[in-house]
Amino acid sequence: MLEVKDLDAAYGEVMVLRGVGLSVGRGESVAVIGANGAGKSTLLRAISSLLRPRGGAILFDSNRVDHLPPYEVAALGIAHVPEGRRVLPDMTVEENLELGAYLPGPKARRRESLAWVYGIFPRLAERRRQRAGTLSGGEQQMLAIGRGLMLRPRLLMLDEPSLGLAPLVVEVTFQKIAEVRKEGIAILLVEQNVQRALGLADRGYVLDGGRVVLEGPSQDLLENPHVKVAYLGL
Amino acid sequence: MDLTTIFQAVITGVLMAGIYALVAIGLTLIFGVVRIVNFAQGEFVMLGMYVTWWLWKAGGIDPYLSLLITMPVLFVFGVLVQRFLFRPILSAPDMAQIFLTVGLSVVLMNAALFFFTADFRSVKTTYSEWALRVAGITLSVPRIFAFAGALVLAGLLTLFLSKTDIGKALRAVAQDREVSMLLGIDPERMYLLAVGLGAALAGAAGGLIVPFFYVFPTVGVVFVLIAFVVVILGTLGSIQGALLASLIVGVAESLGILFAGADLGLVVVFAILVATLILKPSGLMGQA
Ligand SMILES: Nc1ncnc2c1ncn2[C@@H]1O[C@H](COP(=O)(O)OP(=O)(O)OP(=O)(O)O)[C@@H](O)[C@H]1O
Ligand SMILES: [Mg+2]
Repeated sequence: MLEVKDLDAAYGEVMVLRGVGLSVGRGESVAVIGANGAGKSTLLRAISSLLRPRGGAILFDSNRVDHLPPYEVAALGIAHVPEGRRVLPDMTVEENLELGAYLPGPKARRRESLAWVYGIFPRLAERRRQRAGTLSGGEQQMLAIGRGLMLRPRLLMLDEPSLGLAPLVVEVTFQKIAEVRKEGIAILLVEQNVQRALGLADRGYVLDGGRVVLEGPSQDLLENPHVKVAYLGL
Repeated sequence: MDLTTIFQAVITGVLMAGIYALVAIGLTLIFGVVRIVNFAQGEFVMLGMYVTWWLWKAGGIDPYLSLLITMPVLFVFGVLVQRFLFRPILSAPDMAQIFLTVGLSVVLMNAALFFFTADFRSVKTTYSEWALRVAGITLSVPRIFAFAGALVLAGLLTLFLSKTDIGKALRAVAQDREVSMLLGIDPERMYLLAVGLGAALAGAAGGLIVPFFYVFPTVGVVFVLIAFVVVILGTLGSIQGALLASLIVGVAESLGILFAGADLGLVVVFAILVATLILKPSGLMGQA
């Protein structure tokens, strides 16, 4: 469904991604792991067109999407939940969710989607009239994911959903992501929490210095000596 | 000086506040969404006044009725300004943006001078001189209309921004441009809308005051200066904040005129501005 081929990306003169290849199949969950500054966020930003790649290609359903503006990529059914959650702080929880279904297709299903998202995240239903900026970090993460789901995406891209959350909250967040996964939505998950990310995903990629250095089924990666030493601290 | 005179000045200031708020709201809408400080906002008011005056002069159209024409005309004007003037310099340094909008303001003033001359124009309607007298205080009817009209427009804008999807999309772009794109919003279109609306509000302010305010090419200067003071005083981006700050500024100006003379009303307004900047040095861009 998603295919990234030989992708180069840069900020100004600084090359950040070099020849990255990656694919996500229908309903598949894929993790991208890597240290700080490895280029994980940059990869997601390139896929959602927030950043124009320097080279290579990004295909969705075999169509090139790397020259579309971000709002057209979203319209194809790719939801990007950015690093740091980025909820709209001055709007209520429900307004944030409603804006997740801004595009015509998702808008037609807005009520149904709201009920669906509130079903997955009952906490958000309790806080629907509250300003998003006043939510706790874990709640904001749920809101960011819920807002992405309102797009009725076929691919949900999550950038470090565990960032800055207490271990217990991370646990809950990953349970929710597992629920979303069961709905048949493909997931591209970027994480530094390697154990959890590979625990959830079918397959994984290890990004180091902007290159894919390892890839394979999650179980294989978890048992890989390099991964154990470098990312699991074993 | 008796109390009635002072009270009269206060009322006059209050009635002008709605107009100041409209201009300031337009300014913050443009700044909040497009991140451009529009020094030509006062000339948008001036254009609204000339359009209204011209429609009355040439077509005998009542100034209030011509709001239905003035506002769309200014909206389209704002859209064109965004598309052809602001858009090319959005990523340019602040200084370039300031030169551009100040330049636009000068060009518009000179265009008005060229087409309409420096003459002071006025629109005389049957109700121009109407007034209510309450407890020795004179309430000018067109000024009441201007105030009420401004409140209605501010209310409609509030509804638009809080209840409609497009209004929410505008706020989303103002709050986080990147995220708005991820949600499927095209910011460029929202920029067009924001500048169009900002110009339409300025045009409405101009149209509403024409029955009691002279029209001349440099009339906008006062309005843009006052709008800046209002924006700095009020919480940026909040319509209620703009209304409240406008009340303070309107009354201060009016009392300044009463106590210090007609030429010095603005001095009082600027004294407030300076005091605010000292107390709140973050100024125009800062959060409360
Ligand atoms: N806007 C930017 N301008 C310039 N360089 C940037 C920018 N954003 C990221 N970089 C650089 O690009 C590299 C990759 O950044 P990226 O954010 O993709 O890493 P990451 O893997 O997501 O890291 P983290 O785990 O810290 O989120 C880093 O060296 C970073 O300093
Ligand atoms: Mg990152």
